[in-house]
Amino acid sequence: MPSGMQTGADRRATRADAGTPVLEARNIHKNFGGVRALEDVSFHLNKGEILGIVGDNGAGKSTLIKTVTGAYRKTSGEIWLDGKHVEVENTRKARELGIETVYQASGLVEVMDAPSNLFLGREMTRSNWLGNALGFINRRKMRVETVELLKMLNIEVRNLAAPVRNLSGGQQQSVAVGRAAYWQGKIIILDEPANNIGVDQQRAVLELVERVRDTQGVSFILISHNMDHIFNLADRVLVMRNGRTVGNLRIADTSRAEVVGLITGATIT
Amino acid sequence: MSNASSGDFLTAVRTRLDAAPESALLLPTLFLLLLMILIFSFTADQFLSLSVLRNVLTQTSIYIILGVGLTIVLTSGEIDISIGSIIGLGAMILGISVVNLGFPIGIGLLATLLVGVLCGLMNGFLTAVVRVPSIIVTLGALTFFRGLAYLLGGGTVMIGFPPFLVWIGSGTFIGVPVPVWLALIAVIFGQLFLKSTRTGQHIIAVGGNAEAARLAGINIRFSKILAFVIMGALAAVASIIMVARLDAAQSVMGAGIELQVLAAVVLGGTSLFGGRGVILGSVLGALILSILQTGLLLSGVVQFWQLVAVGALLIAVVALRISYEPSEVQS
Amino acid sequence: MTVEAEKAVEDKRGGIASLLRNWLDGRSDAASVGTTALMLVALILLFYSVNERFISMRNIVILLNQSAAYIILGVGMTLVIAIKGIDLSIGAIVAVCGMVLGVLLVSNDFPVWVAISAAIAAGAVCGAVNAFCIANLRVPALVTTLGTMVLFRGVAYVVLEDNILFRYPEQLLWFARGRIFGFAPAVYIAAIAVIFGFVLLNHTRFGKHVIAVGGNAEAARLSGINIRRVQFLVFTLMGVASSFAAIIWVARLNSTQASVALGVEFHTIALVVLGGTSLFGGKGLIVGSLLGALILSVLENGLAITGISSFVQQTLIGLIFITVVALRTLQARGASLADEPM
Repeated sequence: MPSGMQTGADRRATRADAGTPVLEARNIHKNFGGVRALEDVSFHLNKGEILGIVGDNGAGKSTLIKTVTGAYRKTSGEIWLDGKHVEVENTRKARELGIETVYQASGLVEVMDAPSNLFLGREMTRSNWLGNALGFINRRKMRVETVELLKMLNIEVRNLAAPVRNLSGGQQQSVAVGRAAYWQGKIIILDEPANNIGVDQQRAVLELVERVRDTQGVSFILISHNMDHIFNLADRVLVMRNGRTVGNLRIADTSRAEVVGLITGATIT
Repeated sequence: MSNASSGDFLTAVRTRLDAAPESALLLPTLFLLLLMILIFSFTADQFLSLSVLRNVLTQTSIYIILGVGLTIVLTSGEIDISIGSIIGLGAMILGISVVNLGFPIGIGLLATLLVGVLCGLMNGFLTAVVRVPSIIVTLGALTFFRGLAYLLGGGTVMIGFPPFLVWIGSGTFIGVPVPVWLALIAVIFGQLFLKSTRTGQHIIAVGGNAEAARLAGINIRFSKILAFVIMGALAAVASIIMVARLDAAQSVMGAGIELQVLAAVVLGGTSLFGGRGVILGSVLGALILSILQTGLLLSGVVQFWQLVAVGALLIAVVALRISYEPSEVQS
Repeated sequence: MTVEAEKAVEDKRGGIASLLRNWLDGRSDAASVGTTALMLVALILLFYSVNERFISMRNIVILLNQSAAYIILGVGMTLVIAIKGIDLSIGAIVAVCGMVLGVLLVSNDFPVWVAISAAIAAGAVCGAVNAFCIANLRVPALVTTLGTMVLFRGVAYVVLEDNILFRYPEQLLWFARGRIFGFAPAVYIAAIAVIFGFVLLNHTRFGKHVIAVGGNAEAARLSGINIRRVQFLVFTLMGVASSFAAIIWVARLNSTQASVALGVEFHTIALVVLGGTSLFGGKGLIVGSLLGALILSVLENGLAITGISSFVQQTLIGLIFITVVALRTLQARGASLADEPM
């Protein structure tokens, strides 16, 4: 086990140093009215890397993610994708650029079934005139695709036709992660993926993240309160406090104590 | 052994119901409707006659058409209480264009539909773009549109519509009254639109979880405005039928109808909080209300008791549904 | 924490505009009521410039008499909306209470005080029926009161049928036609209702609970507030308020019929919203509702005095209502507009 850990850390170290970043945020500022929520935040994400973002409540983690993905308009700053400067005007644009986001709690429409949620906003239409002209959806095809995806990612969903609110929290989260993976995002952002779900299910979701990374070469940003998750999964961690970044550390080079210190402000930066 | 198999059976039933929450909602409503028909067939002699049935269906067609529209609006998470006034305004447009100005009936019908669409557009814009709560918007619109109807028509009754319009109101096509055909088309449209098109799915998503829909890139404003526009157009259709059936147009037409329609839709299982619209349920709900009223009338119950019965039924049905499905309750 | 610090910095930079905004932030209720008051004054001046008789003692007396019943309903509805409820049945409750008065005073010869007590009791019972369905059966207020709106109206029709009852005893008519210092007793009842509602909402524990339940029901529940009890009391109070409105109504018209006060619920909701109370709950402006009621009465009365046809009046009132509410919503959203791209 210790030797396994060692090689894991080595692998992580290489990923953390890889060439051009897939995503880079430069000098992001965000004000709400007169209140400054983000101040001069910069970070980068390498290919196949899992970047953890940690910080206390209100430190600006979710705001940062929403700003990067176009759910909020940034006040100033730049987003670079694969070395190119891009404008992410809204969430639709973010998805077109290959950034998929799994939001805590609010990402699924609870009254709709899993296939409808998987294809939310990108429903498959029939290939005949009904589909082209009138936008008739192809429920069967969406269902088949969903089954295949869930099988591939080893996600178990008891009843595909049931509204997702009837599924367990872990299954819902898996559907949300699966959705991001299905759309072949180059970057998947997870906002508190393990919130409000049981310990077993948390493990299942985290394993799913690793599986998607390993099989599809996707890069992840993982926002979490849970140090165990960060240290088990992430290659690098970005620490935020009061809307600023106070640390950008390789997991291989740091310790929980140091990260916690940065979060609370106990460690001088 | 038998215990286990009955357990399996229950699980199977539960899975079925889970998978088809809509039919789970429809079945009790359908049962209520059949029960009512059964009771009235005993208490009222002529109840099961063809002519009564036909009358009930024709009467109900207006409520069904409006019910389809309101179901879509409620599914999007909004409400429209201005539909009665849209009907009044539509009737005035039809009357003025055809009777007073002598335009061909086709132009009159188009103008009426256009006004319905414009009314819906206004409600939708104020709700989705300005973001005033729809109950307030349509409360104002209720007064405003009715005021416009009075402004256009005063207190006069416009009569003398061409035969085609009269046919829409009281003619038949293959033995079935024309209003019933129109209601059927509205129901098929509503069902296909809501359940089988992308736009319909987006409306459900917007009503079910607006934030998730927004993050998934769905255009919330468009979805909501479209729901109101469809409502407006269907209200215009209802006003055409209403004018056609009376062969007369009046400013007061449709006053108070919004509450009847809302009752029918809620009886049918559509959620007041958005995300769940049961078009067929609204049809059943409208039929239940009509049959209750007609049945009590034919059974010789004093007319005014019907109001008491309708009110009590509405509350009882919703209370029962909530006791079975507590997740329905939102504060 | 930082928010405060940032705000302080912003103040220094933004100067007066910022200071003003912060001042308004702290007093958003006062600001809402202030805007409503300005609207009322502007309307009064407008109608005065058209016709000087608008500000005459005679017209003011008429105006207040007309508004009294609406003000009382408005106070009740403010509480209802503050807990995020709605009551569509108040017109029907007025009809039931009117029916009780008619049956006891016109069809029979009961003493006036008995009839009034019975009417108030009837209003309380109707309110309690609503309250029971909403608080105990957990049927949404909109559905409950939609049902009882039809149900109560039906009860009034069952008893009264299409008859109009009139010739009420003088003691009842006194409420609208008597004069104390020049005003009808109804106006004083309305004034008492406003003071009662204001003190109840702003200066009692119950008032705090009302705001808490409407603002965040879950937080209210967790802090030990009995939500059902608050809902029950508020809807019952609404029923009682409707009974007072019914007494004034019958006294003014000297008649009762089952169709009385049809559509009153919409008028009342409109005046509460004009007064600045949010439909999203957690806020109730009793004084705003008073002003809202006066605005609607001034509009109706003023438009009538200018000789504009009643058809145009209705259109204008609808238009003004929509405009005011839209402007208020836009103003309230102000800052958040820029943050959501879609």
